[in-house]
Amino acid sequence: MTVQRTPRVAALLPAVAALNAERIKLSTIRSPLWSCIAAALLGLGVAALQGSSAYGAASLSPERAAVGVAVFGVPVLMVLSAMTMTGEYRSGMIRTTFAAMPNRTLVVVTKAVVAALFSALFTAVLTVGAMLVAGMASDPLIGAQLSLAEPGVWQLTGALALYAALAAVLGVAVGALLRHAAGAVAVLLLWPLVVEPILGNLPDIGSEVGPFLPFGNAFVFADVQWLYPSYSMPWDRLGSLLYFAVVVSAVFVVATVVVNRRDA
Amino acid sequence: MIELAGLTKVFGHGPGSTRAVDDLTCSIEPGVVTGFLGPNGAGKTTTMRMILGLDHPTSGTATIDGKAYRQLADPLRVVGALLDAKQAHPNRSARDHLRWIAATNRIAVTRVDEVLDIVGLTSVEDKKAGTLSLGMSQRLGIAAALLGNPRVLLFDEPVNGLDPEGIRWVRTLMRTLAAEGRTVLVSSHLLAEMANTADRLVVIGRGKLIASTTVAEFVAGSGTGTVRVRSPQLDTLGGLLSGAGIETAAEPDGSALSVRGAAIEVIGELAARNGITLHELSTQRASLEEAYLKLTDDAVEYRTAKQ
Repeated sequence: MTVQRTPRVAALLPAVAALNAERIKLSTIRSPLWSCIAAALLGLGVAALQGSSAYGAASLSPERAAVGVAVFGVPVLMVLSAMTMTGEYRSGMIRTTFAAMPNRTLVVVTKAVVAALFSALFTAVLTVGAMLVAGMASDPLIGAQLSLAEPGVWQLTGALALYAALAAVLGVAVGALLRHAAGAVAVLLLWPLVVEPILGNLPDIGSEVGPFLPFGNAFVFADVQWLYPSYSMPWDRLGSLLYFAVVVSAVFVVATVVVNRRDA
Repeated sequence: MIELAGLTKVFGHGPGSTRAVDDLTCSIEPGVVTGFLGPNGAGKTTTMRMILGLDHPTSGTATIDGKAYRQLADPLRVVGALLDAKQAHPNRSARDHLRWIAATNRIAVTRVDEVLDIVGLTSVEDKKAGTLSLGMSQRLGIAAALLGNPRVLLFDEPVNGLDPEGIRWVRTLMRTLAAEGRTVLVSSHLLAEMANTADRLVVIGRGKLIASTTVAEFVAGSGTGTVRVRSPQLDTLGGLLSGAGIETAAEPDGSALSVRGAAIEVIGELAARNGITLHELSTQRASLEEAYLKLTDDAVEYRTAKQ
């Protein structure tokens, strides 16, 4: 019984080993695939509806065509990111993971990096797909802004990819904190889709809390119209991005500290 | 070698807290199979989890060759562990499960096929972990423990759910691993299971160390070889035995004497010389199981209501 080290691989950093292990984990079960299909159906389906139902003289903006990707697709990917954590807690596999990699910070960071990269890439593909679908479903005049030759399309793609990456990191953090899929899914779907719109639309204080809602800021950054009224924001679009990033980072740091302190 | 020094784990705070592991100090040597014995709830699994850096000790330390588990660079190459056989994603194949574990410690994928072969799971390597029987899951867990060819191995109740053939296989594997000079710690709540496998025993009850000894000493030191004597002249015989410097104890109901440290012949001849009638003269050989039960009796956490 001898263990052979492949010299080439052995020289690499533990981080690369951790990334490789996460890659194998994600690619050897089916549920990520189903989540992606769900995200694609939601994102592209809404794009098709936007395209076919758009009318009037004004052309359909890329932001409107991508609203399904931003509002439904990204949260599904966020849930998928959370499941990379909760799935391990459910089966007890997390103990195998922590026994193999006692550096728990490395484990959580690796999961976040993999989830962020994957979500960003997939969201970018979906956004471009949404442009094509909405363009095909609408008449040529209305779909004029959706051409891939338009710089606006690519700015939006970049913005949504960035938003998806941050949302994925938040998903991993919430999954690590709550450990149960049901709780994580509830938080990650209710937060952007229900709680924030309700808070933002509250009569008196809506306009005061509105600018400080994390997902509200993410949507401002991506320039996507969702159920929020328009506020006078205390910062510009870049400020909104930074605000969302700071909230995500804070939750992620708390999650990492908790995971390190907790018994596995 | 595994060294535990004052290892303590308290769950909860205040009056409702439980001392799952209580000031455990012992060392587990390489080259032999060490049985880690205790009733259910005695703290065996918690101890193993602390050795593996999964649970944080409340106080004390657990080290492997002088290092805490969490300081090991590629821990699977030093320590292999089977904690819970069902610790795999149910929808991932057995081989893919081992592949990701191997990847974390940069273990070549050829080793995955090697360990699958060692545990005899090659034919079902593409089956999903969730569809494996408990016995096969145990084998998969053992395969994962062997991946890094570690010099220290921990197995928590490894024969649970195995058929007799599987039990024999695990037993042989443990002995082979120890014979190769590795440190092998195997937990069990059944002593009989360990009697044939282990060379040394670490016995705990309610988190406390009860014994750390060889199997032979464990049996010898726990009431083996007492002789039971019944006689109408029990008091006279008792006096004679005490006079000869032999330790005796009356049985609770007063009908018999329990004599320690004297061969049955000595007692018989002593009685004959003094014209004492004997109704019974018999050796009480405590079985390993009795010795164990006697020692852990006070330390059983969950017992059925006393009749």
